[in-house]
Amino acid sequence: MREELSGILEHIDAIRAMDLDGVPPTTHVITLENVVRPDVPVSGLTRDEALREAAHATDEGFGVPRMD
Amino acid sequence: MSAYEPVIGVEIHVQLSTRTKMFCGCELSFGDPPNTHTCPVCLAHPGVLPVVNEEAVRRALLIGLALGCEIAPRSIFHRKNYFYPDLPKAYQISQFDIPICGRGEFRALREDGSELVVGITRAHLEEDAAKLTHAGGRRAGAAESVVDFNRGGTPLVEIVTEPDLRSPSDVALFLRQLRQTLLFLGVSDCSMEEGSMRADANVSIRPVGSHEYGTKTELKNMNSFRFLERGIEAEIARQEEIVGAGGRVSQETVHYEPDTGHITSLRSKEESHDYRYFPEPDLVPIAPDPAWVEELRAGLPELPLPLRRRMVGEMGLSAEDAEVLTEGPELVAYFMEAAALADPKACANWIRGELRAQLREVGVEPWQSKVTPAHVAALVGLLDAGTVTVPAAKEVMAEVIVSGEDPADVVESKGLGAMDEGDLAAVVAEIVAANPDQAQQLRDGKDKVIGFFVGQTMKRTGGRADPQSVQRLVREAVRGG
Amino acid sequence: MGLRDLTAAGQIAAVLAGETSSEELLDAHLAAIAADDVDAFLAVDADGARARAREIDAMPERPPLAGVPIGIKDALSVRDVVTTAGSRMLEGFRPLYTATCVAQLEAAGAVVVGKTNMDEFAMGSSTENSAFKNTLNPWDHGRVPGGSSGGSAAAVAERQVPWTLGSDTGGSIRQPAALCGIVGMKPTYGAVSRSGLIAFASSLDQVGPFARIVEDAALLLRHMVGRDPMDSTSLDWPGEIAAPTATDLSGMRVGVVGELMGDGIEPGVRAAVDAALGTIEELGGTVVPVSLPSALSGLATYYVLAPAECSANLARFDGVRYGPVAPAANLLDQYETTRGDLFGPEVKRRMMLGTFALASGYYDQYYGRAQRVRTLMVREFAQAFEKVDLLASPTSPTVAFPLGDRTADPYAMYMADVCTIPVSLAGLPAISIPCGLADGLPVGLQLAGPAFSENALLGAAHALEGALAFDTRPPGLVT
Repeated sequence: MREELSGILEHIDAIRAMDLDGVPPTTHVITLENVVRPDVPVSGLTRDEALREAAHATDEGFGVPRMD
Repeated sequence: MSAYEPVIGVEIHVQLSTRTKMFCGCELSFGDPPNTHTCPVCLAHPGVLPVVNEEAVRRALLIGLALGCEIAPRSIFHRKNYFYPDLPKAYQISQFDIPICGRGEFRALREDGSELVVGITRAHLEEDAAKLTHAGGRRAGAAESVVDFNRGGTPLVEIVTEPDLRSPSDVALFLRQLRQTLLFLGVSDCSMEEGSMRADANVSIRPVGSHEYGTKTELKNMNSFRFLERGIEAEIARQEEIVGAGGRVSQETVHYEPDTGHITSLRSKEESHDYRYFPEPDLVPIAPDPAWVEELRAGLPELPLPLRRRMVGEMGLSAEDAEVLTEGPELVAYFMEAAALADPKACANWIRGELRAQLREVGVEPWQSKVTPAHVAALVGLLDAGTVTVPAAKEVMAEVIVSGEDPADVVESKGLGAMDEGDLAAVVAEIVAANPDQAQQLRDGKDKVIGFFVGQTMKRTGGRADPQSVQRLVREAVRGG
Repeated sequence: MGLRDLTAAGQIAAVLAGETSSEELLDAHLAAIAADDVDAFLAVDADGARARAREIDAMPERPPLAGVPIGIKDALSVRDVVTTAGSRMLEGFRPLYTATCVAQLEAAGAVVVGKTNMDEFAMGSSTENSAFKNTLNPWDHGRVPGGSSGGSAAAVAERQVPWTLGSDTGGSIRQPAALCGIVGMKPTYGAVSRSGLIAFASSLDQVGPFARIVEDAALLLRHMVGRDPMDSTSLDWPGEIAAPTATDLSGMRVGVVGELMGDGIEPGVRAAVDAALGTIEELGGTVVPVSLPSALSGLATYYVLAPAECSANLARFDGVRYGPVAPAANLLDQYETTRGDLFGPEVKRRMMLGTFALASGYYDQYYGRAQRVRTLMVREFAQAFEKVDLLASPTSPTVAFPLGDRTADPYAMYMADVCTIPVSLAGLPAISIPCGLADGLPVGLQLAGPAFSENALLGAAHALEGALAFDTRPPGLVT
């Protein structure tokens, strides 16, 4: 894994050599702004549905082992 | 006098009281059974995408405007990456270097009338984590903690102050008044106890006169302003002791235990944490229309501190009156309505005093009761005109609380009008005549006996006499006899 | 000519003309899938499909897609149907909702037959990274179908379904389309909702159609474009995706990207592409050379941006709310064991690369710079499109390579996307159509256009397709 990663990194390093003076970053290729939704409740999942796919569901929620 | 001065900054997380979550349409509510307000988005199922709650944006702008912040013409969201079970995406959508609100300022009013100016660094939008509860008891193989996602995704505005605070009491003062302002804006319930407002303090010390910053520690998870204040005091003391002994303060999170007063440092998993912030690709920038922002600014309610200054400066209220009456927007509105109709100071006294005291018995606020501001103003007017005495007015108030009737009508129907002086003198004369021993004691100089006569008179007249007049008449009657 | 040899448009027409029914179509295709020897599908929902087909057959007026069967890449969520994204991390997972684009097609009358195989979490160019099995190229069962949407491409080439949906991040629709000799298209970024697409690289991912002909691809796209309230990055679509009708290319200026016609392109591929460029000119188009210098940095840029975004997108997989879990005594162990056991090596490689590219101290050098190269790319494409209407290049530098050939060298595998990546980084639409054979294996020609130029792109592709007359039937395929 480490070798493969170093190999990939060598190729990727090409971008460090490029001249990018004065070029701003592109965060989004689309120019949309202000996409919002109204503050109106939409019906969601029942508890059973929410817990259906959980491997360790308790009666009420999602179980996780203790954090040390 | 310490050789060191404390330098304190605060980070406040305000849960917005919107109807739905920050990035999905799940309804927000308190106290419902766990995991009954979720959807694939706030459970971070594969393939889901966030969509911004427009009301959360509006409220964040209101907060920024009220704090005099620069409103960013364009702000973006970032992902803040870390693993924890209460963070289902393993990143929090927040704002990093381009927040919706920039630099601002908050001016708090001290008791002595001086101002405490606190710089605001920024305010930004983000989503709250879910709730992790740690189950008691151990069963082999049992989960030890349970996650409830009902509140996961609640909209938050995080307000960060400059390190401008110099004492724990200033911190408490600032937070109380900030809270008031937020309540006035109607953006949040602002309850430290319920967790809709959280404040963490960054505390450091430095030699008095120095302009450099010492190493700061972070005090978190205090659930009242008072405990936070005490925690900061304890932390300052702890730092002073370390530095005084020639040591150095380490940058870490500290925990204050209110019961014991102990302050301990926590090995914080977040100190050296690299959150690997990068712009959120699933959300587009927020660029509020400048005209809309101006509309919001113009539509801001009168905020507590300008209001208090106006109450004291123009309406003749005491600083304390103003502070109490601006506890909340409903109370202010109530008072202002009354004060428009009758003497503000008198209205303030009645509302602060007798009205609230009586209503406390039935657990109701003035604006929830049958006593309207007009009723209060009317009662003040009747008192002013001498139509009722103070004790009678209290009875009238009690009746209005029950019936919602107009005070003037109550005075009439219950015969609570102030007694005519002549009639009162006659009653006093009767009582003095009927109690010759006490009358003699009074003549002999035992002044305390006047209370007996006042009491008797008040009983006989059903509170329709005012105590000062009664005292005067008793003394006259006794002298005369 | 059997039912399976009809194009999707042909099958719709047959249903509407009363010559066949949705259920009959389903039976024909299910039989093909059952007899399958390319392993295109991970899961088939015959019962669900049959119920839907019958429902559509019973309708007095058929919906536009008339019950024609479709396969869906397993990166797209379908409610209650096992959706794995090709990973053991989602083995047995049944989503609680259906991806918007799939719901749109179902509403238009498509019948979802099953989920197709893919590289795990869409990371790969050969489908060999699937945690479950390989898919074989219908043209040569010893070779890869391409990736990451290899199953979707193979299913169409084998005529197991007339069309499928795939997803494309750096070429994952176009490259397998080229390797399997069919049509595959990645629309303008934002054209089709990503809600329900299991995310790989959010700023690059797009859903798109596979079909044997351009007309069918256009028809699917028509029913998927447009703003979705569940996806903040989805766009209002101006106008409609039209059925392509052009038969020539007069007046069309087509730019050939010099940087993508160099030494890395196999001679057989170059020859087929050159021939196709000749056909473009025969049809009245003008072919001009165009330079996109930043295209050479595309691979490096992509392999910084995509892993960075995926490292965050895949962090949610921890076994707590869905999917299998490797139980452990404490939380950290559970995270590590679950993720360590259930993610494959390529996914882990990319997550590590991505975490590195975003790390404090490295962000500016890697992720930050990659975003800026992206800006250069966007500008260069914009400049190019001032001079030409479309850009042309090979879709893949090589024809389908043998299974196992590149699995030991990740970067060699990454090279498969060198022609498709620049367009993804710029968020532009591109289509691959088969343009010839090299050593008996299909070669794809990629055409790309400016944002929102889908109609022009599809029109040109349709005209060229007509003139090229490529036979999409793999040798030996019995229908």
